[in-house]
Amino acid sequence: MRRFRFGSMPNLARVAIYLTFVVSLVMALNALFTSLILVTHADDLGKYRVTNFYKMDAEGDVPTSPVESVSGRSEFWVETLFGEYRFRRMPRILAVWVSAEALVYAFLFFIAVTQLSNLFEEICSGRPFGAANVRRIRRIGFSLLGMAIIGALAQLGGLLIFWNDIHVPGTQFFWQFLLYELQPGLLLVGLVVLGAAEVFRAGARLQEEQDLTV
Amino acid sequence: MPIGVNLDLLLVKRKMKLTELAERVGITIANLSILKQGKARAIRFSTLEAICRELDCQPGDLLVYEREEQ
Repeated sequence: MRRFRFGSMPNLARVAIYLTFVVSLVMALNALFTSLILVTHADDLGKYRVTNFYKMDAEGDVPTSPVESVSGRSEFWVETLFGEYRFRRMPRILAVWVSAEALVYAFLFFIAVTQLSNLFEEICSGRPFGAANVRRIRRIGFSLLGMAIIGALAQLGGLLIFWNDIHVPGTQFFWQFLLYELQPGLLLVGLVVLGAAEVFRAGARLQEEQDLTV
Repeated sequence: MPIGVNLDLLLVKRKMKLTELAERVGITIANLSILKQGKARAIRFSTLEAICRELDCQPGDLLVYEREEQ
């Protein structure tokens, strides 16, 4: 019986890939289930907890002046509150928009994971530089870029519809959080992966030259 | 490819098979087939030397330059 080798890159990579594959399946199923509820019950979402922002419970009065931390090394004060809004009714166009975004996001993630799995198999088999691997890496890069852009578009779409609909007394909408929704880290990683694809393309050319050298 | 390989002709003259030559030269049959079919991009001097030794020929007997018609 083959012993499972911890610390060995090939087996470790396979474990990581399999776990990520499971995550992608969970994401896809979650997106599918959520989409079905959103699209079929857009006019009656009251009984479903369809929320967008994270909720921060406030205990007692919210302090307005700076509060010193327990250690005394820092101070903080409340400036931004994350509100939770629960949809009673959602415009169907927004329901479709959000559902499509979730499904496409999960699909792109699944694509990236499967391509990465095939790429790892080829690399572990001693064939890292080839035209097929270049295509796989490019697909991974474009999937990452797509995930970053779609995530931002989904948030933007929702905000455009609800911009004038949400007025909570005593609060001001913190629009700067949109910058975080753009996921600049994911965008950068996607671009780096596309750059790596070009490196592998050059490697594939050298490999072909090597293979055809007698 | 402007460089032609006369391996077939030399093998017939020496009455040797491709598999036997590959074994004597120390390269795979696949690589020798690539050379024979004219698909090779480059040939190492060590391989050229080994082929010429086994087929008792000169490099000019094995490789010919064929000018491409424009």
